[in-house]
Amino acid sequence: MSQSPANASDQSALSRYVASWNALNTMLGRGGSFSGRERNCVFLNCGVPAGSRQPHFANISAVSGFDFPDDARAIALVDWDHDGDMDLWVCNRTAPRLRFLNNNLTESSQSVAVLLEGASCNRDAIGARVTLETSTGVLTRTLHAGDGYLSQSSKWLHFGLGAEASLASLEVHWPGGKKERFSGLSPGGRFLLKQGRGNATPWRRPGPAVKLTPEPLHASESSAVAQVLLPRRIPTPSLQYRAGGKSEEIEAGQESLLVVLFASWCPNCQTELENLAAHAEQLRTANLKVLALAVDELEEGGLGSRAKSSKLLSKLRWPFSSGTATPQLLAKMEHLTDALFELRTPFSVPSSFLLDGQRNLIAIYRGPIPTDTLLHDAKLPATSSTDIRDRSVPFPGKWYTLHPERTALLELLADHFQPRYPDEAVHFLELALPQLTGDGAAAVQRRLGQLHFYLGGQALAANRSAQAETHIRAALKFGPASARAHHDLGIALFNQGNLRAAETAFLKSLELAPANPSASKNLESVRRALQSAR
Amino acid sequence: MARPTRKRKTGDGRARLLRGNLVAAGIVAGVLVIILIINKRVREIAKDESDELLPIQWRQTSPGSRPFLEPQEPGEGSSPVAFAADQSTNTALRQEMALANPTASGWESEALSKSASVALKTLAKAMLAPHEDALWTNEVAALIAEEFTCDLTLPVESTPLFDDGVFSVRRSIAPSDSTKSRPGVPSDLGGFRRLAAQFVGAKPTESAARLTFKIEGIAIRDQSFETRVSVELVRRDAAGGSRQQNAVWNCEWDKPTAERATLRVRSIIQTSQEEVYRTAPGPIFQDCTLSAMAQQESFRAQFLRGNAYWAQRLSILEGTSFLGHHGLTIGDVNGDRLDDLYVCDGGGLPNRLYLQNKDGTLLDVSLQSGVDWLEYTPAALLVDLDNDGDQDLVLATVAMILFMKNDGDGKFALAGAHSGVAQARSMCAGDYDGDGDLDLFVCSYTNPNKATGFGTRGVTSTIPSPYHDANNGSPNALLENHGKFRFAEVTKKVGLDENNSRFSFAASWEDYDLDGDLDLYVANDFGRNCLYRNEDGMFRDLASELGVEDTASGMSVSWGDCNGDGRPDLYVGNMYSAAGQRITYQRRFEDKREEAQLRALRRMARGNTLFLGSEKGGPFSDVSEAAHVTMGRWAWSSLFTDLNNDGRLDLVVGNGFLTNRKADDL
Repeated sequence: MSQSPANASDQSALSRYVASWNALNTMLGRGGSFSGRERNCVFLNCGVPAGSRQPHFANISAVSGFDFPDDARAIALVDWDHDGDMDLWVCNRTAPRLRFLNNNLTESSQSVAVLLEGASCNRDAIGARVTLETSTGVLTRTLHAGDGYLSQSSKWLHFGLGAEASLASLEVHWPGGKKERFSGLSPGGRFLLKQGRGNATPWRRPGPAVKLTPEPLHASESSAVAQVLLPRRIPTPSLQYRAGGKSEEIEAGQESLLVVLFASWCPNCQTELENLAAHAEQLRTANLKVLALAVDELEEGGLGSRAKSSKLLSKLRWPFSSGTATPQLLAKMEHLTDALFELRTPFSVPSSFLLDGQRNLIAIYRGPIPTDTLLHDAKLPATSSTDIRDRSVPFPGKWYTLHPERTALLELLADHFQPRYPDEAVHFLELALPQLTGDGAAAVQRRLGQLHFYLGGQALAANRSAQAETHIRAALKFGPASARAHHDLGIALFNQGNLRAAETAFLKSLELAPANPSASKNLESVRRALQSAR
Repeated sequence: MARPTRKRKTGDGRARLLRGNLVAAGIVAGVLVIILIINKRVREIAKDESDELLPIQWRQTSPGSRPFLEPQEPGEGSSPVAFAADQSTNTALRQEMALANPTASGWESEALSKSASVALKTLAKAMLAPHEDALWTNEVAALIAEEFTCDLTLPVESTPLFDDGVFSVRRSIAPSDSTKSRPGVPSDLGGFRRLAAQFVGAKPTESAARLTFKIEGIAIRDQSFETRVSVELVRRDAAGGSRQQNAVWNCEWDKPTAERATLRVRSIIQTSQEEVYRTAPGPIFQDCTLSAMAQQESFRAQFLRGNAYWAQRLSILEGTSFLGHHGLTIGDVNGDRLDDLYVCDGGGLPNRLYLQNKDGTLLDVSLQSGVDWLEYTPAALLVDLDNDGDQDLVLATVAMILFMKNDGDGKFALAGAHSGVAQARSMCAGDYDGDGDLDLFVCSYTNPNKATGFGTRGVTSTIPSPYHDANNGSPNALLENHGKFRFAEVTKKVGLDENNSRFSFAASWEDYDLDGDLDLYVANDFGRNCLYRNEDGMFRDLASELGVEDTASGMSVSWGDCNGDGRPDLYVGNMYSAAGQRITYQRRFEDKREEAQLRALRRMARGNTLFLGSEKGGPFSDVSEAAHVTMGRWAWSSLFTDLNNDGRLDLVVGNGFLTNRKADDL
């Protein structure tokens, strides 16, 4: 974070700092690593030199066997197998996300473990401090509930005794201040210490000694193949493709639609298309249409061509519709998935999208789809929102949250699309608006006004005056008091030859902001044009 | 608000019941819908210290599972082919990429450091292969300057620092004047090769060996530069023992010139050496997970896949945890005195409860026990909240803190929920007010900055400002136990609102001053930590007075008496960054900054901290560097524990931030 501003009032340094955070977040979402593959560490306490208070530690990470290059997070300490030494349960971000590390201590040292039970204090006796006097010194341990990071260790307190130590006495400082000495402990044992009893009760685990064997643990192999079911219906942007030399749009319909992206040179795609073609009747019965879109031409220096992809489809006697994917279609689908997933997955072929009749996204498939999976998922568009959410998770479980609100989702999509596709942001916000009230509705109306005004300006600059007029009129619907919008409306109308209306627009603009020289000039021009028209 | 209602419904009719509950519970229905907006709304109500818990209606996923398409083992032809569709542009990203490229960013030190580390990699490869002539005569020879000098042998203390018959630790004799490096012996390639072979050991081919170099400091001159390099050599010997050498080398390099495109090493002088030798065969820790989880399908299907795998399959709408902020807890849930395991997970993946069988293996009882929550759960605790002799379950989840009562046999019933904190992290329990029941402290990282904020993207949704002293995090909460699973937030009432807007990762209770009540240490990211002293139930932050502010990236807290004086010592997990160490000592970095800020930023990259407690709760002393415990890398859980049963507390550190499919970019 070398960009952290040296001076808080340095705005440009601050914006560089903010930009680098944003860029860092983006980079990580695209598969970048950050202090990754780091090996866990272990430091051995080598004791305190005579006359000092400060212990020396040695780095024994590698010989300890704990130095896995995992992204470790939580560690819980426990003598799991009751062999007298501390084992570890570790939770990682990377696979394997859970490890049990058995302490294989071969030293001839002993230990004693105690489990406390409070009577006048909390029953778990959390916060109790236990001091154990041995022939070689005093050991002090406190019972904690929650330490490290996101971790809680065993409530059995563990005391290593070294090779020769014998126990002298044990004292518990119970929470609340009472002190109590316990007798009856011996090295190598486990004992229950109940407050007020004064006598330790020995305890042995039932059953035979635990025998767990070491075996290397690896992450599950995973291919890039995935069936991704969305937890709710996701509205899509407008999606265009080309077919028969014309631009077509994916439109709402009675049936669900599976859009398959394929390339002529890809053997998996051919298998996938063959499979879909072979099950055409079943898919139709399941109320599912298929649209195969070739991406051959979208690759830079790709192997395929339009001719090759058409040839493939005719060879298969492709029974559904087909066409060519546009770069915008891919870019928008990528935008949509970026908005929904923290880690970007680059598109590959074959990839498919299951859309319901209203063209909401239901599922994404990477790689070929087994027919029974597809037929199962084809029922999803007709099921309830609750069922859609329940099916989206790989394992059953419990929810207490409801599935996310549609308006919130639409605003999320609008945010994500706005920088590059402001027209799509408008589309998503317009879908959200009817379901909003109060401040939420007002905020979306404000945004819509601004977006339409911006789009109107873009259209004006591109000499698309009619389109500009539509946008600016929409902007005025949300913000009727905008002098700039009336001004731009005047230009759009003037360009279309609608001089009377243009005059009115400029007059309105000047009424709202009298000191605008541009509006005055434009008004003059309109009036001159009106004069000469007479 | 009404008393908590605890309708428990399973199976059919859930949708109808849920709607019924929405009408009846009014505001709570809002909680169910959008987590973040409503969280705020409910918290305003909760701020009046009411101990009424929120009644939560939950439901089990409807029966019938999805046909899971993913093959366990990918076969031939199942992998789709990638093609380039990424035409998106992102200026900020390109700028950051440019910055991450040290040559383009103008940090000469980083560019030179990168070249030197490439050279050191070649050297490491050659040192592990002393008999590969071609490697030495071509690649190494090209790296060695003509007037090369070298010294890799340091005199070692005659008495080992530690020796228990199984472990021995020896250190080099500290030079009388550590600022002055010893002159090396003029050496040619052959001489260096012999010294290197001696350093690595006689027959490195006998065993698996690993040699890694990390550049931790750099000083630049006109024609040359010097690097401080940490060296780690690991190998097993024929007898089954294992050896680890931790050394520091001072390497001097000639910068590349117009005639010579690559740099060359002019001298390598070893300045310190620590030798650890373990005679026992095999490491201390052996991975026995598979043996323990033998028959548990949920372990294979859920935990043998990384968070990145799941982040490509579960959307942020369910609160996936790409960064892996979810933990685990140990406790005996069914009263057989054997510890069981509860593992938290990200949104869309159920938390798992594994019971310990008599033979030490585990059994997944998540569903039967009623604890298979699909909501994102950063942390959980198993503690007896109602003092009835069994372990209840507290869960810090995406929107609320859930309290689940144990029936004594390991079946849990939801007692209610507290609106909790924004982005909960670690929790810790302790009876702060001495009334005989356990209270809870919940850490909070930061507020999601978007009203619609599903999940959080990237490292943090709120940009910490300023980086070394960020005070724009969100408040932690102390929940006071009022019995019968009623909890009231008393953060402000007890004075814990002091210094309470930081990015808190972890906290732990301890009576550090031995006055009979529990004090609290809180580790914060991006700045200073807090030590709240308990003064008759009111707290005061004494971190500054007691010298434990530890201004860094605090991520973990562990208390323990590591020097046997009966006083609690403190080990804090931080971020050790070799790059941070290099950069913050460069002139270009120094020029722009105030001395105090410079110190703070340097300190942030130093790593973990060990504080020794003193008499009568006085100031702690920071002995981290002298005790050699800073280098915990990007540390998370960093814990005291006695690994070898000698009565002395050792340290285990879990670390590593984000390993993704691309190599380290920063």
